[in-house]
This record gives sequence, structure tokens and C-alpha cells, in this order.
Amino acid sequence: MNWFVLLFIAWIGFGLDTALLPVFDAGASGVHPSVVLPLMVFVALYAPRKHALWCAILLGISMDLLTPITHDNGGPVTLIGPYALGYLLAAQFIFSVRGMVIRRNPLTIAVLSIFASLIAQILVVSIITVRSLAGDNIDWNASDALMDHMLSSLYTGAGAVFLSFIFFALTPAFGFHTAIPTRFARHIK
Amino acid sequence: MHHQPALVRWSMPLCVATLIVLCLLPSAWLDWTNWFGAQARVVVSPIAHPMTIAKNLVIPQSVSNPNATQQEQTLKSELDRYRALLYKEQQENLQLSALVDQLSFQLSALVDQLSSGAAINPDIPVTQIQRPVIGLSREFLIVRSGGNERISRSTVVVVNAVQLCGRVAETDGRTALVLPITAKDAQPLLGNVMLDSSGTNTARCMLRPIGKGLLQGDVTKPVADDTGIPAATIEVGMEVRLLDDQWPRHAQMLLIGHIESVAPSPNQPLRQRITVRPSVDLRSVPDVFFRVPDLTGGQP
Repeated sequence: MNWFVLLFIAWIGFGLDTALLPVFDAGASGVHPSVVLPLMVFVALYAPRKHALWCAILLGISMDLLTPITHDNGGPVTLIGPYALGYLLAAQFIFSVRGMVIRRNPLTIAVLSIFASLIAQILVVSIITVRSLAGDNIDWNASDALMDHMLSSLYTGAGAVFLSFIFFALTPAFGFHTAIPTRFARHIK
Repeated sequence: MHHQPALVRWSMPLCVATLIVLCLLPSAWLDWTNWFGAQARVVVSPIAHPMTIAKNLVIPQSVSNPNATQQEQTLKSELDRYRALLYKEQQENLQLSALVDQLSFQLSALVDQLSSGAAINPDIPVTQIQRPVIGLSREFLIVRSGGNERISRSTVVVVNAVQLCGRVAETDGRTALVLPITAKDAQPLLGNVMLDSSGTNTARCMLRPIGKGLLQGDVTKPVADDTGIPAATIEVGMEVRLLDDQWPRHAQMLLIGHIESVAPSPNQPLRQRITVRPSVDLRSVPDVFFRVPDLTGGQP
């Protein structure tokens, strides 16, 4: 796997997440898609297991650093771990099912993105809720957050359909080799 | 059989164990992680900022009158700024006159001391520093602070000179995190509904963010005064301005927004529940102004 290409695409993905969040999160309801998670799903579908897991941890830590939660006093708390562990668990799930799916189909990326996002988001909400119940001074409403994250997972799946065409085109650039090429994109080498 | 070094074999379990421990540490012990968050924002900003500029070009921010010329918009902005100043002065005059009334019943020595100005802070001149918004991270606006050391935590942030945006939640050398007043996690605000354009006829309200870029709160119904003039009614479109001791004096009477809907309060029949929307979507503004005290006292 070409780590340079992965980091570059992840950098663009985080940039898109940061810049376009107000557009996709119309109405400031807290429901918005992720660009980074479908990338993690794509890598987990094609990369060797160890690379996929480290990629999940790396993307998860970056997500943790870029999405601070709010302290009771209005300040941010950068919590390192929830997304890293959530993405790791999601990557392990994808690795366990990838032998049973058609990797070169955009719908595979979309459906797996929904499930992977659900797994990751449930773990994230659980960890922060445990902290909140343990008396940590964070501003947190578990039921609202769970609903927002569930809907965000569906939104991420919808967005993943479009992203998958880009990812399929970049398959050789990532260093992934497939016996049967996809018919949904022309490869960019 | 091929054996990997122990460090490689144990790196993943060690990493996972570290992440679990970090997840469970109390937030009071996690101040140092904010530094890493700031570095991550610095890394992402070179790609996020051009995308934000492109987004603002494609989806321009809505303005109240799109047909107004640049000069008309500048004049309107200037007018809004002076109205905010007028309202602030009027409120301070009201507060001061109430204070004088109260003091007149107290000891003469205390009145002498206060009338000499010792207990009343002088007006603090304010400088507005314009900075571009890089993007949004969860509830926080990421703003390029440009290493200005006067921008610190709790610095007041406004849009278009008079629209209150929020306060700085954290800042480092290059970026600042701003929590907008409409963010779900933002603190409630005390405001005044401006019942007429004189600025003296107002109604108090406490507004809380409810998501979707809105604030909501109960307001006491205005009552008729002794002169027999009927009480003003709270109507859609009225301005709501900040009047909250938790905010600095120079931020008082900044615009919170306009009333979007009025309904009876479900819990308190003598009150009305208003929903307020800021004049712009605070999450998608292209740039903001930091209001910092002018240490030169207005001298060039």
C-alpha cells in the first residue's frame, strides 16, 4: 500500500469535512456525512490486514484531534481515543466480511460505510457517555448524540456511493492490485 | 517460522491499551491534548481554507437585501453599528440612573465616593480584528487568528460589526476555536427584546440554543405604564440584543438576532416563548471580527 497517497487523500478528506460541514449539515442539526470513513472502508477492503488496522487508528486519531467535545465551561476538550478505537473496530468488522462481498461495486462501499460508521459511532457515543456518567465535566446528551450519529451514518453511506467512484479510479495509485478491474471507474495510475 | 521483533508484535496491543487509557482519563488531565488538536488544525487549514473560500464563492452568504449596492450595505452596516452604540449608552444611562437613585438613599460619604467616579469603570475602547474562518469542527468555528497575542480565551467575536457571533473557546499561536452562540453546547444568553426604535422600551428574555441555528427563550409580556399608553406587543421581526453581565461591557447591546416566531410559553402562561434567528448563519460566515480592548486608548 502506498502510504503517501493515503495520507494525501486523507488530508483532502479532512479538509472537505472541515470546509463543507456547514453545507452538508444543513440546518445545523448535527447530522452530516464523513469523507474520511468511506476512505477507511475502501482501504480496509483492499489493504493487508495490518496496514488496514494501522490506517484506521491513524485516521481515527486525526478525527479525534479535529473534533473536540465541549467542556461545561464552554472550552474544548480534545479526547484522543474514541474515534481511533471506533475506526479500529469498524476496520476489523470490514476485514472479517470482505471475503463475502463484491469489492468492486460502489454499493458495497456504501453499505459497508453505513455499518462501519454505525459501529464506530456507537463506540464513540458509549465512551463519551461513560465519561459523562462518571462525572466528567463535559456537555453531553447521549440520546441526542446517538440519534445524530445514527443519521450521520446513513448520510455517510449516501455520500460513499459518489466517493467510491473516485476511490476505484485511484486503486492503482494506492498500490492495490485486483484480478478483476471494476467497470465503474477508469483507473488513474 | 518467521518471528517479528517483540516491539513490532506488541505495537498494536500497546497502542490500543494506550488509547483505552486516554479515553478514560478525566478531562482535567487532558489539557495537553489540546496542543495536538491545534497542530492538527494547522495541518488541515492549508487545504480547508481554500475549500471554504471556494464554498463561499459557490454558495454566497445570504444578505438581507441582495440588490443593495456595496455602498448601501456599508451605510447599513455603519447605521447598525451606531444603533448598537446608542442602545448600549441608553442601557448604561438607565442602569446608572437606577444606581444614582439607589445611592441617594445611602450614606453621603459613599455617594461622594461614587460620584467622583471611583466605582464606575471608564469605557474601554475596542479594536476589531478581522480574521478569515477556515472551517467548522463539530460545534466550533476554526478561525485563523494569525498569532495575535491580544486574542485570548473569552474574546468576543462578532460578524458584520454588530451581529454577535460567540466567544473564543481556545486559541493557540495560529488558530482560534470560536463557540457560536447558536451551538448546542453554548451557554444561555440574557437579552433585551427591542419593542420600539427608541431603545428604552424593552423586555427581558433568556435565550438558549436549540439547534438548527436558532435560540429560544421565554419573555415577560410587556405591561401598560401609568400614562395609559397600551403595552407594546412582541412581534415577529423585532430585534433582540445582548444585555448580560456574563459578557464584557463593550459587548452589551450587540445584536443577537431577530424574532422568528412567538408562541405562548407551555409552562408559564404569563410569558411568551420567542424563537430568535441571528441575521446570518453563524456557522458559514466567511470571516469574523475579534473585539479586543484597545490598549492605546484610541490613540494612533
